[in-house]
Amino acid sequence: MDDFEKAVLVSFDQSGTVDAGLREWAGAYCEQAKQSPEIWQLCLHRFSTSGYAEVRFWSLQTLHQVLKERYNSLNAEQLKLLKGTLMAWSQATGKAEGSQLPGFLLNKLAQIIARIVREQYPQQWPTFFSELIAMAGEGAGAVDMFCRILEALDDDIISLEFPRSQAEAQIATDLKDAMRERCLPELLGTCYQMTLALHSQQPSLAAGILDAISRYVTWIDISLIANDQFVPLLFALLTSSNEELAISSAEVLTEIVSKRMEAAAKLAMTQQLALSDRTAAWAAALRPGDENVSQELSFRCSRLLSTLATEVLEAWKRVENSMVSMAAVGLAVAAEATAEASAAAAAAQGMLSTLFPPVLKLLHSSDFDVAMAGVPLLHAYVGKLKAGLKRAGNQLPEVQRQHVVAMMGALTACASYPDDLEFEEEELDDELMHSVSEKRSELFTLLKNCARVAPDDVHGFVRERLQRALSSSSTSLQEMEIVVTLVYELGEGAPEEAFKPSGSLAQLAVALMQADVPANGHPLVALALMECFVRYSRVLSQQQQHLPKVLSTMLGPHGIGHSDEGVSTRACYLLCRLCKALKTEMRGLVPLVMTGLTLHLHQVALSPPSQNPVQGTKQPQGATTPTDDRLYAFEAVGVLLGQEELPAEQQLQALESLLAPLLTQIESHLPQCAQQSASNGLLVGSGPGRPSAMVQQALEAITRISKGLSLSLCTRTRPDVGALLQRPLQLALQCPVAAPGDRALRARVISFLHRMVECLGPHLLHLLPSALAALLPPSAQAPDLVEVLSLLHQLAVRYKADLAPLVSEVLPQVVARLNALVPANYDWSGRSAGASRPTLSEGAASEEAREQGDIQKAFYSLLHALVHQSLAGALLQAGDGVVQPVLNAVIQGATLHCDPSTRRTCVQILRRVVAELATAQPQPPGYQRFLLESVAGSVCLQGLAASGLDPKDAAVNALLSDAASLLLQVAEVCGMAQLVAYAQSTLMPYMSVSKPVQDKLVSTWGSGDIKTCRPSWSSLAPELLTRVFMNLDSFEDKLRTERCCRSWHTVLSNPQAAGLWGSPQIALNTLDQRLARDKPEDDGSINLWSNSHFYLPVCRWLSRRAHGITSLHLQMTKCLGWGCGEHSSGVECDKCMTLSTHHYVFGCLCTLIGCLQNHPLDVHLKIELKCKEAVLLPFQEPMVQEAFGNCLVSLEIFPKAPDNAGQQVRGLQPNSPVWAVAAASAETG
Amino acid sequence: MALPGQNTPEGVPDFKLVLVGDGGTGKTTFVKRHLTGEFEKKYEPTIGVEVHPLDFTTNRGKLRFYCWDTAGQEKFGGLRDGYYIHGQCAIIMFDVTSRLTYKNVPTWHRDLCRVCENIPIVLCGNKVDVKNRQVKPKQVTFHRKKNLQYHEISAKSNYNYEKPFLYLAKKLVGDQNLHFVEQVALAPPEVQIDHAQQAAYEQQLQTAMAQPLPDEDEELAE
Repeated sequence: MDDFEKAVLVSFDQSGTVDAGLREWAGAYCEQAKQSPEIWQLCLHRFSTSGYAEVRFWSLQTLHQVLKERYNSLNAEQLKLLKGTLMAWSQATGKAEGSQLPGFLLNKLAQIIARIVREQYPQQWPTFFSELIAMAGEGAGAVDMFCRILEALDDDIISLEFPRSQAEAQIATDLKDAMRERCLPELLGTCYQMTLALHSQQPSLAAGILDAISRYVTWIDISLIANDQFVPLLFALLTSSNEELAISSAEVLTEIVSKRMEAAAKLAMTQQLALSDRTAAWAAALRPGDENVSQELSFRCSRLLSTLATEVLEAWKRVENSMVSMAAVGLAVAAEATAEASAAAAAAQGMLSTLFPPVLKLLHSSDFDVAMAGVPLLHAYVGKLKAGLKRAGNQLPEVQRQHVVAMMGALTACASYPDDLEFEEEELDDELMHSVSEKRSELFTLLKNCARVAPDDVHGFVRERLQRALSSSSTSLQEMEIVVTLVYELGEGAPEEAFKPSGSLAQLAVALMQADVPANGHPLVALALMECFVRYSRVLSQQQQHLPKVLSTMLGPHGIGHSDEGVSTRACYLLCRLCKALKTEMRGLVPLVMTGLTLHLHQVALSPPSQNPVQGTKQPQGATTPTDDRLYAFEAVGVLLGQEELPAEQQLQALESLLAPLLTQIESHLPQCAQQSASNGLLVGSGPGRPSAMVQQALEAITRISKGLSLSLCTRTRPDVGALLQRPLQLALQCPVAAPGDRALRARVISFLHRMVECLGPHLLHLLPSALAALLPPSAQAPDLVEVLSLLHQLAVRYKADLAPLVSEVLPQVVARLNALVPANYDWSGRSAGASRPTLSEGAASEEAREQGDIQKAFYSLLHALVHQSLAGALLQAGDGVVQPVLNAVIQGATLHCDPSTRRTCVQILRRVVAELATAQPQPPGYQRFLLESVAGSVCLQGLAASGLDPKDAAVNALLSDAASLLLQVAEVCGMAQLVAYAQSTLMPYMSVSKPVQDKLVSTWGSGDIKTCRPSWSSLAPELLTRVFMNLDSFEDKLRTERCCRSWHTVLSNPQAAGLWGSPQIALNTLDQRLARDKPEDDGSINLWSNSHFYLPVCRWLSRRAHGITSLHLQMTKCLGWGCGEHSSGVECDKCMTLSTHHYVFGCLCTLIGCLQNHPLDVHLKIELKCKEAVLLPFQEPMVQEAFGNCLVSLEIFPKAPDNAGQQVRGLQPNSPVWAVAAASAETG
Repeated sequence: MALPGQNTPEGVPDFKLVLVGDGGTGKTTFVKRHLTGEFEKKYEPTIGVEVHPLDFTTNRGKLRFYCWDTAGQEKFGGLRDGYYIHGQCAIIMFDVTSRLTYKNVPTWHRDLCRVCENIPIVLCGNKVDVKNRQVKPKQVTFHRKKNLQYHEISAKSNYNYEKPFLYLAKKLVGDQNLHFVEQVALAPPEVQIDHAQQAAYEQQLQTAMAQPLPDEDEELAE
């Protein structure tokens, strides 16, 4: 080993034995060596002499790098030597026994050869492919190398799978063209001969050849491979005992089958080569999905089958559609063409019939991928049947009806739970459940589509399966479950007639309701049955005689009483659904339900769920408090008992007996709660069986019952029922008093109160003060206060003006707690509470600061609700102890808060307050001063002028317009003169606004009413006023908009304003940053295709900032025109910009031009568009033309629109799927 | 490949795992979530690769991945595909919030397969915790063409952390029933994944699985 080899080896060594410094040195040494002009010779030498794979790899890697980066540094002589050596190595590889190089070296070698081909074929190296073909005759190693080189050509030059620049795409096209002209028949012929010769002796080599070919099928003349020689060979190899070879053959065939061709040609090819028959025969023999067939082969087989069938179907559709559409537009079609088309259609139908049985067989496979491979085809097929249904007079032909029935059989098998599973073992396998439900979501869509095209056949199929399943008591649970589920699924979105007693679905449902269903004790069957009953509640409503049996199932041991917790919980929910749907019908059965449920309700009430779920239990992840779905049983009872039509006595008695044990439960556990709360502090009441949990469960049960009790029932028709709720209310209100530290309990009480508001309405009002007092003890912490604030918010929205007395009573308490929890020196900007946007936050806020921030926000939203629910008066009359802190908090928030939407909330509160104050008699002392100093001065002018607001933020714009309205209000109340005087005497000097600016401002304001004044915008003061005034304009008309635009321009061109906001520099930088965000391609262009959301902001930006732009150079190249070539215009497509995007881009440009049109300055607008003429069209529309004509803008469009409108702009691929803005730069100022 | 300097304990099989993908997709973050890896990692930033031993305990005993985190190599050059030599399995990572990183997946796959023929590979879409994702599950089709395993992961929240390793371990050991028996020691999650959102994505992915692959830009037959 010499020093050079050592250096390479050391640089590769990551084993930890080599000193990092040494490795760094070795790496640098090797890098240094690469710079030598003779490095290529060194590489050749090292590759052929070194015994170390790493050194040989390094040599090849470096050689490749040299060819890529410094190709021109090699002269023809050197290149010739290089080529000769490389080809000789390729040929020699594997010749000597045991000297086979590792794959990574062979691949690197192939990669280098491909690189030279890229540079030299066909001009300087016209003989390359003949050399390659000749080489392939030199033994196994050479054949292997032959395949690797073909793959490297595809990988590095041809394949469209990898991102390539336009120049690279051109190279690929040139290579393909040259190959088409020169060598393809020979190449494919060689491949055929070699495959034929090698497949039995050296099957993996043959597979390698096929793998290489499969990459070329998409772009070569298809007849070179889809012919009478190759195709039979491929089908023969499918049955090869060598699986690799079979898989490769299947791949080639799949490529052939999916080759993009004209429909008729595709059908002709398929027919001529008997692809359908052969594929079907292979699938029948192979039985994909069987245990003894490998997953891989099964999958390839299923893919070939489904691809072929899909292609045939698509071609068939296209042939038919072309006939139909020609007929539709009245084009005469030659009889010959018609005959041809119908022959093709008939042939397609025949082929599809051949392929149908094996495709359906796939669905029986237990392998997910294999089973689902055929499903998209079936979807497409049913879609086609649906489309043809109208033409066929709403009756499918017999063949197709048979297809539908066959599909039903297959999808039923596929959707069933596997037979061999041991369901008795406690838990079902999660993975299995998951996979079945995934399959089902696809399959049941198919089922419903089938039912739409052939309802009678599908219903008949299910009826037969149902009869069979019900007729024997030994029916398996899998069978029973799938049949019930089929009935259930068919009920979704079925037409109304199907649910009438004579309807076919209703009959199926009734059969289930009447029958003693086999295996109904199994959780899966029990669940499916109940779901089905609830879905068919419409049937029950029309045939009420079945209701008792259904109810007894749901209430019995196979329903709510099921030993499986999942089933019994779900049964509670479903019962509730049923009661809601059929409460009238069930009125007579109330006693039955009550008898059946009482015991269960007791159990639920006495067994609250654990609040700290142990790991492994099936709680929904992420939920903080587990919701107990069993409580739906209480809701169900509430719905039944809450009906006004029930006899008053029965109703009252039933509710009483329902509530009594719950009340006892609360009463008996509450003292313990209090004790524990006193002793344990905050952590009381977690865990089942704990006193607090018992109280909560009972409270929640009452809450659920009350959902059935309407406001009118409790307050008008049956006030006795309303009276029943008083006791629970009293008890609930005792809870926070008894256990003030128990958060969970408080939350339950609050949610109970929310319910009571709905039930008792105004009758609750008198209780609220004590309720709120209970919820807001002196010990209340920040989260408690936030909860109360949001409860008050809800009350304000609900009771509106009626809440006024309460406001004056409760607000002082609230403010007192607020003062206690929020320190006097609180930072009202919310910054310390972490309220600023995540990107701006400078580290996480402390828990305490965050809680204070929550209080602040909740307080604002409460005040917002109060003033907007006619309670502003009540608020202002609440006494100085309330009004002062409230106004202070609001003014501070409106001036300082860092979140623009919070600030806007405050500004909106102020607007109401100012309006309220304006009408107050007599006006409070200091009122004018408050308006001028705090509202106009602090909030509207100083607050907005302070930095920190981002003018690009939509929330800031909304804030600005509200602030402007507020300023107007102040001006109206105080008078413009007052406002101006104040600004001039106090505010401006304080804000260090310069004298000339002050004068301008004053002259602007002094000219009259703000609303009507027409200030000379070009002379306006910077930033601050522009911002405010800009928002006074509502952009109603063009004139105002234009003015606004000019003011923007003034701001932008005012050096004083620069740096504050919207300065030219900032504007320009923003654009540059946007452009820089995407990595440029090799050729420096930015490929927008990779991020189609990118150019929209740029365009939006351009049109927004148009007023400040004096020169614009926009260059668009590589525009694709109207799509990626795979669809017509006007559709959504992920791959390319859509039609609407085009319009958007050009809409923005037109706006831009429109703005420039009114611009007093000379503007040079240069738009360089290199694209299809279609894109230029918007610019030629008369409207835009006119705009150009009238303005001072000079517009250049490059290149000039072609004289011949139909001709494409030179140098562009018609369907090049890339849209790129090579450079867009704007200069302002 | 045995790495003598890193002392794999006796009887513990080890595998060289190559981790590739565009810069900034979160490869290094991903590796560093594994605490044994963090603890014993060898930090070699200068030449663009870090090798981390990552241990897992399966029902058939312990195993170790030597994870070659090729972070930063795009910029620094280094040995590029030279690092892949003798790789036994690989993870290709992209960032679901950046389309460009997904667009480059085929290139990573190609370069990898040239050096390591027929190794098990997992494609990982990272950063699924981010709300505004750019690559939707239905757009991820590459793995189906190449028969790779695909997992949506979030290195920050540990979501699906062990899935790629489990798949690779199953393939390498040749036992479909292999499973991890101990919870992998991970750094605590920095963000909580939105499970409802993720379930929706998984659903989309499954729906997408059943869709036909999008057409390539092929030319019509001549």
